Amino acid sequence: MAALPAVVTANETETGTVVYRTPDGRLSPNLSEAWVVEDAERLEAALAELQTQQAIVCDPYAFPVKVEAGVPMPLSTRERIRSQGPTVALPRAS
Amino acid sequence: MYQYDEIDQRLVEERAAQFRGQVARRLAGEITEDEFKPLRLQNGVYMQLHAYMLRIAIPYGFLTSRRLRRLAHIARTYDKGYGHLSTRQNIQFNWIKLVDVPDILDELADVQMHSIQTSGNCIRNTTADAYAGVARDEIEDPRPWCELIRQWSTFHPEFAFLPRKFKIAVTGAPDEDRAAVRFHDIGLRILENAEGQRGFEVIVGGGLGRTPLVGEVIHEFLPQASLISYLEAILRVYNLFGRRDNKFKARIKILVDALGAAEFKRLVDEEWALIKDSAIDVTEEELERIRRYFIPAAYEELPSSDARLASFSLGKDRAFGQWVRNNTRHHKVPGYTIVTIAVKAPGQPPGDLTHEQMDALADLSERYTQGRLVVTHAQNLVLPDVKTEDLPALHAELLPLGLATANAGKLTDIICCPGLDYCTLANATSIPIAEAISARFDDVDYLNDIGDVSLKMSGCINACGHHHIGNIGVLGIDKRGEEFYQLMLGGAPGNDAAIGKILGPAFAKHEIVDAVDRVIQRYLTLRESPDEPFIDALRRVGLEPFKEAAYPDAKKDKRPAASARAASATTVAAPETQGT
Repeated sequence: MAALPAVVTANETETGTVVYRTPDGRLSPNLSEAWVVEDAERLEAALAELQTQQAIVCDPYAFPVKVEAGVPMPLSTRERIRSQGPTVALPRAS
Repeated sequence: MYQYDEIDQRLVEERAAQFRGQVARRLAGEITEDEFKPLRLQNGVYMQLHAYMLRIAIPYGFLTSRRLRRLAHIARTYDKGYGHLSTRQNIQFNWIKLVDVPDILDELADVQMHSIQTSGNCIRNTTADAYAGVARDEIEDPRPWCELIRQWSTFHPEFAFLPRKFKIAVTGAPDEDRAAVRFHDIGLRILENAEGQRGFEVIVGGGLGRTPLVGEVIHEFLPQASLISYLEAILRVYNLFGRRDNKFKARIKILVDALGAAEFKRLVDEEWALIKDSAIDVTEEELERIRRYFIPAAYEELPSSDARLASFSLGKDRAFGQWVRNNTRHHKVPGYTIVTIAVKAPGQPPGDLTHEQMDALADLSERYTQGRLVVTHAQNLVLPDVKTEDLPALHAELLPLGLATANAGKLTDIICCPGLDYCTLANATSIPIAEAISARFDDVDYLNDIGDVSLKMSGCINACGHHHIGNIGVLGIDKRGEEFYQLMLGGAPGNDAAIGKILGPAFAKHEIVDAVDRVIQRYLTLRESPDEPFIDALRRVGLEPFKEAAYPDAKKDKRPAASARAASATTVAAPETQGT
């Protein structure tokens, strides 16, 4: 289980899009809308709930965050890149 | 170019239809992710950091213009407009939706392409010398043998669930190994004996990853007719004795290392005795059948163009001359030249091609090289059959496409894995470092002064960027949540195979480009002449002068000497005399 506070994330099964669980139980592609869980029991319950929605999302897990100006910020570089996209410009057609 | 026969065509179409059903069941919730994962991996579908990634097989790297156009269409229609050339001579798309994969596989099957065995613990895409079939130093085209291996290994029921993935490479050029055969599970070198007979030197147990090892020769001259029976014997021994309890110790290299090459060979020979000289042996008729499916290029009878090629490289158009000098090779047919398209433009991720570039290259290949292209393991493309007289026109057309970078084989021709920008396994980003190094050394005159030197970079110990066998290797690591980079020197992928040695403590992200620069500066001051390549100078003087350059404040900081974790094998010689 991730250190607290934490955010629950997964990938949409159909598209692979990275999503985060919101406080009202939705799945949002925006980390800023994620539910910041501060309680281990509630975190476990949120993960268990997503595990039952496998047609919608796959491989849910939690990762630790810190809250800055009311917005969850990942502690790891991996989750920062996962939430914001590659750190390099994507190749673009001219 | 090899054309699929009716059996191959039916096979890829049926596989696409089968996967369509599997995806439908997954999206309907009838099967779980755990049940689905091995099925999607068998079709090259990974879940990466941001999305699904689809890896498409390009057998031994050989493409046609029609296939490249289809890949451009897939990039444009189903991805974000670009694809990534892999070190296994395949192509990957990073932003694929699972729901689209069945349609993509149908589109691929239509041009005889697929994603079969591009993942999973099976025999992966067999790779070959990127100059196969056209190299002047080749004694035999390895592609029919690669194709034979592909046909033998595709859906081979006995080898569908090996202890771990399995990679084979073949070269027909004995003097210059451009396929890194000593770093494959099995490497095959076509040789010719004094009697003019052809055979294979069989090398087993090479590999990179967390345990880099140079392969061991277990058969010095295998008769060609025995290739498949001998491969089958090797795979059987591996399948039986390879470890399945620990994925990090499951590759064949660990087994060969544990048993010793002699004992491993004994086991293989024992198994081989049961199946050799049987129906599994390759008949000349069967090989000829496969060869017939390779439609030969239609060459004109032209005079030798070697002198013309040399004159191009010294002409008044300096940019063209530098490109000819660095990105072309002599062809086996007079009047023709092999051209490398370096997909390594400054500021661009190594190996990434936009859909526009793919379409344009398909057009150019039809006009200049009979519609043929090759993906190289260095993440570049080769146009194999360009008339030498067409080189100025071809170069002029590549320039506006951003594909005329004259750095093939030079420092900025960097092999680089996707790293933490895309990969779930990575510990650190690698593309930004490659881009920064490209920007730092973005001067062709300077690159030519530095000469031939390979730089390879991986974002984790799995070594997809082959960092162990770069003359300069960079490995991204994670230190308490921060990206750091180990620098290693002395690796070499070819006939002088060697595994690089870690130079010292890892550098912070903002330090690594300067460290590479200091290593290059030290090389330039200590080389005996401009003709002494980086790797030769390193082998002559040893690591110490480079270590001093990379860590100028080491004494002041009392930094420790090179890590004891330095790769176990290396052929970087201890210096007999210290260089100046």
